[in-house]
Amino acid sequence: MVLLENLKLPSFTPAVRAFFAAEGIVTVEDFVLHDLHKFLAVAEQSPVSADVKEAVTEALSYLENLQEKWKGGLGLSQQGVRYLSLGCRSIDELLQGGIQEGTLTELVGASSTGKTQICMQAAACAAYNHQCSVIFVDTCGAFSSQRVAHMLGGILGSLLQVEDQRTELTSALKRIERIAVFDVFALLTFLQGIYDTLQAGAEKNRLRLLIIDSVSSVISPVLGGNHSQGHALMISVGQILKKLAARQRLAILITNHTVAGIGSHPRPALGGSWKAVPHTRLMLSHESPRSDIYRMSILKQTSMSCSKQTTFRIGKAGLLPSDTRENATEL
Amino acid sequence: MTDNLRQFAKSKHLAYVVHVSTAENIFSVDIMLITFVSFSHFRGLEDRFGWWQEEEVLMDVVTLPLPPSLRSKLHAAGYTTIDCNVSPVQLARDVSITHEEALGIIKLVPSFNSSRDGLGFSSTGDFCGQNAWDLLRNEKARRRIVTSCQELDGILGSGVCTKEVTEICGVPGVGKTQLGIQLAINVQIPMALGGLGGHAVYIDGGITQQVAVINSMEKFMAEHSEVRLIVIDSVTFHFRQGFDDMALRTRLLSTLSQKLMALAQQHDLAVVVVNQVTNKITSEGSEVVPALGESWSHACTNRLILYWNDGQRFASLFKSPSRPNATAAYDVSAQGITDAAQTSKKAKYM
Repeated sequence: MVLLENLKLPSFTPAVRAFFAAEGIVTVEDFVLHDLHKFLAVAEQSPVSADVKEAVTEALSYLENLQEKWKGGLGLSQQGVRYLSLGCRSIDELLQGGIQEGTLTELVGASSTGKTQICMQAAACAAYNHQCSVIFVDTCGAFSSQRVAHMLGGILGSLLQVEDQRTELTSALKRIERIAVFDVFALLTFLQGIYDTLQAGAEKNRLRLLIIDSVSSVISPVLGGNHSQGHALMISVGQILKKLAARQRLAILITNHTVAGIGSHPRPALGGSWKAVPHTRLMLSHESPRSDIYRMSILKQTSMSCSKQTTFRIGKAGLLPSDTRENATEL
Repeated sequence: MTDNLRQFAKSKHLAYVVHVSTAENIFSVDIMLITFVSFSHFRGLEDRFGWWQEEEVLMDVVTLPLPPSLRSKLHAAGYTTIDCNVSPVQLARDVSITHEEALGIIKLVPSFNSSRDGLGFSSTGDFCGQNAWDLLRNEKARRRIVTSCQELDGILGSGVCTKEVTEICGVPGVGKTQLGIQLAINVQIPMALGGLGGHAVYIDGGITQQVAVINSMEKFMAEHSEVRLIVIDSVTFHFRQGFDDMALRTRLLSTLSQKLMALAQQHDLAVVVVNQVTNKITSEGSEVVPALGESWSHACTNRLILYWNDGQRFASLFKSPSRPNATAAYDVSAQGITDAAQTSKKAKYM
């Protein structure tokens, strides 16, 4: 409840404030809910009527400016959609280009099915191919910069001379920043901090990809139990992630683990309320325990059929389509 | 006139407050008192003309780590968000709490400085952010704890790494405790010989002791900074029985794993957790999997499973962020963990 006086509108003098209070309007909530026609009619009779009318107009325009502007369909379609490729042909084909900017993509899978590998590959690809900054929020100690360096080596391949390779590698690695958080409050504070920083310094940042590995390991300790704060915290995390994706046009990639489901099919953790948060949900599974081939299928996507699948292989130099032979590229 | 004022104040990095005798028209005042104050004293000052504004960080009350009673009081008084510039006196009065409690709440709200260029997140107070290049150099310089079996070291990438949680699981009698003890000895190899030269903490015992010890580990680490290895043997035993509420068990396990991860990262330790195995019935028959379920499997950075095959002990790495899945043979002898007696044919998996 915000008091009207805290809006610090110039026309809101003490006399006007007293008049508003006499009519029972103290907070913004009261102002919005009050019948303004009746209020202005009463204001006509009082000596401060001009001031009151001015205050009302100013307050209304202030509230209107707080809202998001409407966007027409034509404007939206001209805005275009940008994708961050993942460096693996089969996955990029499945996702029609890669991770879409402005959306939240979730990777769901049992343990050891390649979620962290995909996250690291996405970071390497974005840092080198798209020349942008990447933030990797690591909640389970899974970030390995050696592995990212190997993946970059795989992407750079035999394209450049050795010296160029080294400088390119160094500058790409410098663009990836890794933050370690271990509980949900720290995560919320950090995300809020990113949002505020991006709001403030719009022209300077080249952050285009935010990876959180994994969201479920910080939310599981608080979810459940007698009180519902855990659930509220989970929804708050979802809200701020969506805000970051939509307002700052970030591509956000998060990982989630699975829990036992009906029959033998594992289902994503974090329950039904979390289902609505990511825009795209991808399920990962291991083809068979002995192979290095993994399967990715679409669980939820607004613009694609949900029965599409693809396979990929995890090799020494990163992710590859499963039908290619892997070249032995060592760093 | 106000433009000149603005320019002057900006050049001197000062904030200014304009007191006016009437609020009607700023340009026709009779008395105008301009007070120049220094930047550091009035962080939260909001200029009427809006050219300089401290970033107001609004945090939802529900996202602050507050006790439920305080939170419900805040909600009842109408506070759904708090920013760092609210006055404690007003907060205490509105919510009917003590001044100390109000100060405590305001301290929880972070204040971010928007005067940074670019994204220097590593400079943001609590978050230790590093870029991948520095991490790579640190990783290459990191020493590892050897296991005294060359093949096993090979699959782990020359040994057990610090800043990571490694899980060792296996059937009873295959050598998990032996491996834990061997690591506790090998962490003490002096730095001159290529080891870590650190101390080890071996946690054994009942569940209440384990949880209590881990909770007090922060303070313990502050006093004993030479510790480089913590072995927990075993985490399964007390979690497997005596738990009717599975959701509570999952929460406790998740909290425990996050605490261990935080300890490993913040104090540069290796944490080794010993787990048991259980049978899982699948459509193909029964399969031996690590105990404690799916939620625990995400807790550890590396997972090693020990098993018997044809009279030979094998160790198989099946989860690692940087090493491929591989298997190694090893033996347990009077001297501890050793290389396998003869190079038998390696089984890919069990």
